[in-house]
Amino acid sequence: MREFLLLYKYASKITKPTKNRMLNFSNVLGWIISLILILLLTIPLGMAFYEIGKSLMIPLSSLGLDYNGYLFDIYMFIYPLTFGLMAVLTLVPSMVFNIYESEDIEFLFTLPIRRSSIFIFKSIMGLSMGMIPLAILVVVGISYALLLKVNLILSIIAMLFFIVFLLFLSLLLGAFFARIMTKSSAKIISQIFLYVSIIFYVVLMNLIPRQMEASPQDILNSFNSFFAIIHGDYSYLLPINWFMYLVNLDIRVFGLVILATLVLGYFIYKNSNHFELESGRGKTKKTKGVSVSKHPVINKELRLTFRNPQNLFGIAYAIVFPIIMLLINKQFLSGAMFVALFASMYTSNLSMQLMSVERKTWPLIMLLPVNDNFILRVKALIPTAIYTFVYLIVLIVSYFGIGLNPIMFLSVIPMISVLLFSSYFGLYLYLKNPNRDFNGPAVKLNFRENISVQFTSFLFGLGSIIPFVMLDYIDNNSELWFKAIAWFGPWLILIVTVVITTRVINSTKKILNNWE
Amino acid sequence: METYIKSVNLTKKFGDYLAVDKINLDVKKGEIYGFLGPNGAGKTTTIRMLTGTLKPSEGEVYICGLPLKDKEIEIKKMIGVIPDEPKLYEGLRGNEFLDFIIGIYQLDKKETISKLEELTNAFGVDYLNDYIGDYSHGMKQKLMLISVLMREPRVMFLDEPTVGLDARSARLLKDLLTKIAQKGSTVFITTHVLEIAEKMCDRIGIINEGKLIAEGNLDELRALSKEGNTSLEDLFLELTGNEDVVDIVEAL
Repeated sequence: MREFLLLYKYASKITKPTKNRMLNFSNVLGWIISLILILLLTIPLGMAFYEIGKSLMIPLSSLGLDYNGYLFDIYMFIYPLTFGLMAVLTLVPSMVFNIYESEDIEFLFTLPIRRSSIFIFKSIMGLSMGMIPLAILVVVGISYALLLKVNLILSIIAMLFFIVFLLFLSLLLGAFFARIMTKSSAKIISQIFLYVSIIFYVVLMNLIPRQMEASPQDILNSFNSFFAIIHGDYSYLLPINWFMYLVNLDIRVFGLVILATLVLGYFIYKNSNHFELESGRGKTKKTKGVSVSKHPVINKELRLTFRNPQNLFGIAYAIVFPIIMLLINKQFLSGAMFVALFASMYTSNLSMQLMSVERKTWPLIMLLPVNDNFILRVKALIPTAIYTFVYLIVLIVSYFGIGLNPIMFLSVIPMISVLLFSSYFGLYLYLKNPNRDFNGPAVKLNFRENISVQFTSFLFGLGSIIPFVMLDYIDNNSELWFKAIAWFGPWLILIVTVVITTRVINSTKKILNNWE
Repeated sequence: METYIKSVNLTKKFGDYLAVDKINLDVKKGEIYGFLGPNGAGKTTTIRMLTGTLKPSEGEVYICGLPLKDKEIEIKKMIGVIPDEPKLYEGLRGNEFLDFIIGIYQLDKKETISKLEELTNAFGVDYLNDYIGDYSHGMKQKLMLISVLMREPRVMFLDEPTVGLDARSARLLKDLLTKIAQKGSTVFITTHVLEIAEKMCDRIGIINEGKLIAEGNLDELRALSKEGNTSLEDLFLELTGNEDVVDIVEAL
């Protein structure tokens, strides 16, 4: 514990010291914004889950099955299983990636500190990515507890025990991967995990609307055999049932979860004390032939972009969430808002991240016979192109899925301009202060920067999309201002963003030319 | 003989600190020039200014007769630089990095790949399929060296190139640099291994506290010694004012 506290103290010292209260405030605000985002994502799901549950709390005995429990328990089996798995699938890569991306880990290994302390400390620092599935799990659990009318406080405490168990399970898997794999292969496995978890999201979220329409008899017919697993004599022994039993305040499962967590803790300690960052040397012997590309800079940037799980996550989220919202609400705007939100967050972050690679390898880029402006252009255009493509996907899905008015496709034009603004503004902010915290895959912005780039991009993004939606509502009785916004709003934003972006490009070029 | 590296009153100030003070260099075609100096003397800063990664506060740089200020891209195509620390794109594989370099410099595919094979065999590089992030310092250094040597640049700048290399690779590098210079390329090398400078370099420049305090071949440097020192190590210590090393060791 002493070692752990020492590491925490050291970690807080090596991050850039905060100069004023504003920055401390920004950290708090960052947490609040993250919390609001999580609540925005989880509460509608919890409510939907509760609504399904209300009509499905039918005793199994009344349906002719010889089990104690309700028909709804099938969802309480599927959801925690899926989201629990998703939590592990996102927590493990997040931890492994954080360990391998930490610049100070080699140094920490040289200190007289147990490796288990270093491993656990670094893993915990990388837990943020798994918070959404865990939050969903809690919301699902609360809905179920309300339906069962059990003591909610005790149920929440029980859920927390389960979450600790999942964290320990993730830590053990993380220790295992970090121990047996090379740095790069661990990263690749992390990426595969992320893909799998995203597929889970899509599949599960697509099921929700259908479930809401299914009749009890249909559900019983589809999942009849599952009830033996959920409510059989020894079902409480199965970890896949633990969450449901814990919410139901089953004391036997309490004991089992505590015992399993302690066993996992022991293995984490044993395993992580042997952990080391292995080099990939000796794994491959043959030298693959070198191919020569016509666009070496673009190829390099694309490779680096798609090999960073953080970027993949950003891109996948920006596609998956809008489509989910679109399919649930059957409204383009609810999906488009998420595109604007994610694109505004990730476009600037991606361009900064691409530039930060050059900072890490500096002065390599300065030695190459490439014009600085070309480098800048590529780093701005790649994130713009990626998120334009993401937006196009959402438009196409909306067109075929909910019969979107084809005129909405015109919104791509101002959206490109907004994304370009976001991309260049990100580069400008990064180059203005390139000595940022590299202790992790993401490039960190402070509060003012976040507001100036992400919030502005978000507003511009909405301003490019909403007026097009408004076009559908224009009739003879519409007010003039309404018509004016609908017709001219996006094009005004296009002009504004073009003007601002031109200025930002000029300032960024100046900074880059003086980058030493 | 044609001048390949020329600097005129090259100066760099970081705030009030004068890191490099009016350095004038004139390195000829086919010459191996050793640039020596104690830690913090200004060697790396000078190389960075000569290669265009740092803008001089004053002075001019000419490479192969072209002014660096105006012809940066053309000059970068002609030079090869091995920085003091091989920082490469860790997310790329070794062969992808070489692919990137070949593409950037628009090298002839067939010719370069044949050179590349010779170099990878010579340096024992059989890990090009692996991610650079998994390489050790020495492995990265070899990849960096190969990426420069395969281009056969007209001017090579090497900042401490043998750091991290095994004995065989270090020896190979020394022999290759000598061969490259014989073919007409110019090599500008900084090193703390004075034996390398003594054996390889045609001329040596010694920098101390940002000033070029001595320059010439080994005999010319020996002539500068007031104490009759003949080895480069003793000469270096005498010229840079670090002769008290023996006394310090004894006191310790």
